[in-house]
Parts: sequence; C-alpha cells; structure tokens
Amino acid sequence: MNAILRLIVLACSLSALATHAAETESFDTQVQSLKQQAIALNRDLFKLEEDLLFPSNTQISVFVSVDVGFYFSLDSVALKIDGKEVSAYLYTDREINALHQGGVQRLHMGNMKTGDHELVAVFTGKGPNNRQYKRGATVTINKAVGPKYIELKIVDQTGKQQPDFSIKEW
Amino acid sequence: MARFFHRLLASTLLAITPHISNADTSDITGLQYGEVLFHFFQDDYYTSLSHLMAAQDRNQINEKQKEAELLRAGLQLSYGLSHEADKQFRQILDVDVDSDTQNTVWYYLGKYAYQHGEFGNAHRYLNKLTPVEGSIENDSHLLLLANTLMMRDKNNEAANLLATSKTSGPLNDYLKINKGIAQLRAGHVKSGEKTLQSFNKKPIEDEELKTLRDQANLGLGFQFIRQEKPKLALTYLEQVRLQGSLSQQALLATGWALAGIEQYQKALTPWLELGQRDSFDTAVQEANLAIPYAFEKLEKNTLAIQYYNRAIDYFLKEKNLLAEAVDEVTLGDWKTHITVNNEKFGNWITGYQDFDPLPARNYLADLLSGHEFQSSIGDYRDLVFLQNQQEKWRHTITLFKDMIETRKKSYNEKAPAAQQRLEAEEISHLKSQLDVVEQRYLKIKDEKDIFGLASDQERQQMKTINAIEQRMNALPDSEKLNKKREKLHWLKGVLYWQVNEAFKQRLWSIRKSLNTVAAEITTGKEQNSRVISALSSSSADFTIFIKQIDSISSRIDKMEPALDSTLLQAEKQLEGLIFSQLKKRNARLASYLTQARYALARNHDLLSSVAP
Repeated sequence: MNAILRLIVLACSLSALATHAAETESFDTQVQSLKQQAIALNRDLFKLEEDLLFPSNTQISVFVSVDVGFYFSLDSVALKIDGKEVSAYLYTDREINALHQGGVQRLHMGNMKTGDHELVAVFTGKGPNNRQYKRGATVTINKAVGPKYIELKIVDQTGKQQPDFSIKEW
Repeated sequence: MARFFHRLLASTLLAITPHISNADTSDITGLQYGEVLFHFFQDDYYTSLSHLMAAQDRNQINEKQKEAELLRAGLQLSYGLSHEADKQFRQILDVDVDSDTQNTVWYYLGKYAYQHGEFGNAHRYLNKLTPVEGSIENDSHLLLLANTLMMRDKNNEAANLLATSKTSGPLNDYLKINKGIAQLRAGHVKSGEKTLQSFNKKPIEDEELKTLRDQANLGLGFQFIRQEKPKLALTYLEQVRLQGSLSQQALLATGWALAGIEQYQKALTPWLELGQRDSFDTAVQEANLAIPYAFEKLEKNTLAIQYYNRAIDYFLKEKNLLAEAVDEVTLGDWKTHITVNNEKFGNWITGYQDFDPLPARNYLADLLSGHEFQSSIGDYRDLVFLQNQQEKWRHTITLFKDMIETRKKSYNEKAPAAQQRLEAEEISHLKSQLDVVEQRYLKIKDEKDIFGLASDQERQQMKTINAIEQRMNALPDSEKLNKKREKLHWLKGVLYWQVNEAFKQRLWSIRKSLNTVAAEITTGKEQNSRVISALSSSSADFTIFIKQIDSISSRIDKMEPALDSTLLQAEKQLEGLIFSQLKKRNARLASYLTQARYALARNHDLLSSVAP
C-alpha cells in the first residue's frame, strides 16, 4: 500500500513539475514575443523619425570615432555648422569605453540646404602628460542632393606622440 | 565566473565580427556598424539591435552582411530573444560559412543551452566545435563542456576531459579546480585531493578564483563530514578564508567536524564566533543551536540551558523579522525601486546592490544567486522597461501626428501659390530673355561693335560729340572753327580709343555674367523640377506617413494588454519565488525553535534529576 502511495505521490510530483516547466516555457515565450515586438516597433519608429524629420535629400549626419586614443582622452565635443552650435556633447565613462572599443557615436543628425557649409568641431579632453587639451578642426563641405555623412576622427599620431583630429566626408 | 563568460561571449563575438574600421569599407558600412557597436559596448542591446535592424532594412550595411547577421544573432541572444537567435544562428549555418563562424555559432548555442539547464543539448552543440589548441576559446570550451558533463553526474568523463588540457592560459586554474572537483565526485578521492592540494598551495590574486577555491574546500569539507571522516574534513575546511563570503559556512562546518571527533570544547570556538555575528545567514542560526548542544555534550547543563534560552529568544526575534519581511514584500513598494536603474542598464543585474530595495534580501541570499531568480528579475525589469517605452512611443506618435498635420496645413496654404508660379513658367521666360541677350552679345562680338558694350556715359559722350560735329559741319569754315573741329576730332579719337581698349575686358566680363546667369537658370530649373516633384509627392507622402503612424499606433495598442498581463504574471512569479524562499526559511526557523525547546526541556529534566 505504501509503495502504491509513494508511486502516486511521485506521479503527482512529476506531473506538477511538467506543468511548471510548460508554464515557465510559455511565459518565457510570451516575454520573448513581447520583446521581439518591441524591438520591431522601436526599429520602425526610428526609421519613421529619420524619414519624417531628416529627409534623405537634406539629411546630414555627423559621427565621432576614436582610433586608439592613447594620446588623448576625450571629454566633450562641440559642433558648429555655419557658425551655429548644433551639438555640445559631454561623454560618460561608458561612452568613452565604447568609443575606444570601436564604437562610432552619431553626434548630430540634421537638415542642410545644398551648397557649401562650414563645419567646425572643437574637442576637449586630456592630452599627452594628462594636460588639458582643446583642439579644433574645420572643413567646408559641399552638400549635394542626398544624405551627407561626416566623420570626426580622433587618431593617435605615434610619430609625433600627439593626437590628430580630422574630418572625413563620406 | 558568470562575468568572465559574459566578457568572453562578447570578445568571441567581436573576434568573429571585428570592428570594421572605416578603411575597411568604401561606403558608410563602417559608420553604421560602428554606431550599432557603440550601443552594444554599453550593454544597451535594445537600441543596438533596433539600429542594426534599421540599418539592414535600409541596406546601409552592404559590405559586411555576414558579420552583421552574426552580430544580430548575438545581440538577440544577449537581449534574451533566444528563439529568434536560434533561428538566426541556424540560418547562418545553413549557408556556407567558415570554421571560425561555425565555432562561434556552436559556442553561442551551447552556452545558451547550458544557461537554461539544457545540459544534454549544450554538450551536443559544444561537441561540434573545433577550437584551436591552446587558445582561450579552447579552454573556455573545454570548461563549459566539462560542466555540461558534471551537471549530468558524468564526473568521470568530465575529469578525463579536463585532464586533456595542456593550457597555461588564464583559465588554467579554473580547469584545474574543476578537474579536482570532478575527480572527487567521480570517487577518485586520492587524485581529486592531489589536484586540489596543489591548488591550495598556490598563491592566487583573482578574487573570483579565491572564492571558487573556498567553494571547493568547503564542498570537500561537507562531503567528508557526511562520510564521517571529520579529520579529513578539517584539513579542507581550514583552507577556507575567514574573511571570504563562505567563512560562516566554513566556521559552522569546522564546528561540526570537531564535534565529529568529540572535540566539543574546540567546536565551541567557531560556533561562538558565529553566534556573535549579526547576520541572517543560516549558518549563524544553526550555530545558535549548536552552541548549547556543545555545552550539553560537555555536561555543562546550566550553560546549555542559558544558551538554549538565548537561542529561543533569537529564533523568535528572527521569526518576527521574517514576518515583517513577508509583509513588506506583500506591500510591493520594492517593485518600483528594483527597476530604478532600468534606463541606464536595461535588465542587467549589475551587482548585489541591485537587490537592496528588496525588503527580504537578507533571507534570500541563496535565491538571489540562482539563475531562476535572476532570470525572473531580468524579465520583470525588461517588461517594466517596455511599459515605459510604450509611454514614450505614444508621446512620439502624437508629436509625429501633429507634425504631419502642421505640414499638411502649410502645404495646403502654400502649394497653390507655388503651383501657380510654377505654371507661370517664370524660369522659362528668364531663359528666353537670356537667349536674346546671348544673341546680342554674339552679334556685338562678331561685329566688334565696341560701343555695343560701352557705358551709358560713354555713349552719351559720343552722341554729344557727334551732335557737335554735325553742327560744326553746318557752319562756314573759319580758322577758329577749324581749331575747334581739330580739338573735337581729337576728343572723339580719345573716346574711341578708351572704348576700344575696354572692349575685350567687357566682352570677358559679360561672358562670365552670362555663364553665371545660365548656371543659375539651370539650378533654378532643377529646383523647379524638385519642387514640382515635391509638390506632387507631398500629398502622397502625407498619406504614407499617416498610414505608417496609424499602423505603429495600432501595434502599440495591440501590445498593451499582453504586456500588462505578462507583467502581472512576472510580478507573481517573482513574488512566488520570494515567498517560497521565505517559507523555507520560516520552516527552518520553526524546526530550530522546536529543537531548542525540546533540548531545553531535556536539560531541565537532567538538572532536576541530578539535583539533591
């Protein structure tokens, strides 16, 4: 009798375990489905926002990248287009680490008429020997019809043991 | 170890999908890919994945499609979308990929299955991997593979597998300690002891490794206590650090090992030390019961009664605290606090401090370190994050709708006038006028009509000279008049010379101006056609945008009830786990209390029976 009772208890426990596993699985699927929907929604909103606010004909995007970064530790970047400040960005440690690992930050996205425009970027941070460092880079860009991509690059110049700041048009 | 695996996972992913420097690509792939990585490196998988998918939709990652697919699968896995990641990885394996990519995919799948307790599957996936001998990937693969065996009690196989390692890399110590544990579990006590003994003598700097060594020694200590080999147990328990996170369990076990060889006086030392500690650890609770037990064994019944009474008070106080913790959990304020860092870190648990808002955290140490609870809390935080996102999306959608309405209104106001001007073909009229001027210019140039380009003043001067000349010609000759005629002729010559000298310069200057005007007319024409196209497409664009906004809006609405109910379910699941743990703690306390009361009565009886 005891053996039968034990078997029944065991069967009940196993069945409860199976139900729990199924519930957990279904809950996990539910959570994943919601996350998947959220990602797709966020993607579509991101695209819609770009299309609506920055149509491709007038769009300009400015990116910041750091290659090595041994001679310069970035604190902030200020960006002016045609004399008007469009962005002043102060970096967190996490963002700096992300840049050093190869991430590229989209600093500014805006609209611009076709023709020539002056772009000035001012970088501040710590340079060689941990000294305060402020450097600017200027470029005149020609905006044609279609999106324009600009990259603000901070590159180490090993020979001069100095950082180099340049602006690349894509 | 978990942190190490996370780092390894990311580095493995990037080894296969390296940072694409701009020099690597001729288009903007480097920038777009880098932008995705910028979020990835900040553990913001949600943004990173959304942006990667958007860039792929827009064909902005043309040159690195394979790497992007792999990154996408990795991001899905990191964000907890294992089903999608699984599909994505399999799609990658379906096409002809190199062995590095294959290895990464199998490693990911194996790691994921392991984390979810599917040890058989994990073993199967990891067995398909062929890492490079001596590499860190090989060591981590070996370690994970051995763990899948140990989790299924295949300790002998695991020990043999780990014995094949010839590495001297950073994982060497992990491999050794796991080998020792596997050997012991497989019953090869001597070889297991030997492996761990060599490990105990070695100086270690890494805190994670020190904890792992403590765990191994503590595990061995408990195992030998169970096997009634207390002396052997003591040799391992002595190796556990007194300041480490496992010191309390080690002190408790040391007491029991000493009690096992009837050294009750000595056993009191670690137990009394534990009894003084202000801790919610079960080891401290048990020590409170063990202290009077030792006094009882030493036949110091008065002291035993004193300490049993103290233990009863302590357990009653603990029961009250536990009841308060249960009430606080029921109130539910902790749910708000526990998601406070969501914006910064998503669902990632950044450390034990994340659980500070949990009122009952002191009783949940075992639960908090478990995968089930961490996964539940991760899900809960993700769902709360999504609920906040919904609010933001709705706000954005309202803004977009307003923007479209404003643009539409402005279009309706300005478009007819612009249309009218375009229809008037002003630019074509300008072009006709330019053509006329161009013809006139060519005629002047061909005929070398220098006065055709003379200034108004010069023309007026020549006109005046000619008029005077005519009047002079009509007058009778005289010496005085002839002198004046000569002077006038000289003036006419000077003027002609001046105009003739300026002719070439004027021709060039007019040519330049005509070219500028022609270019401006061409630009104007292009602008006109853009405006025409914009005018005709704007109304269509409005319709497209409105359709997109409506579609997104309805998707947000549709998601809401499912999100609310799942969030509720997640809350219940989390509460269930907490309550179940608190119940266990309560039951344990109740058992200690019963034992203490029974022992107290027994000691009173003993004392009364020996009393004169």
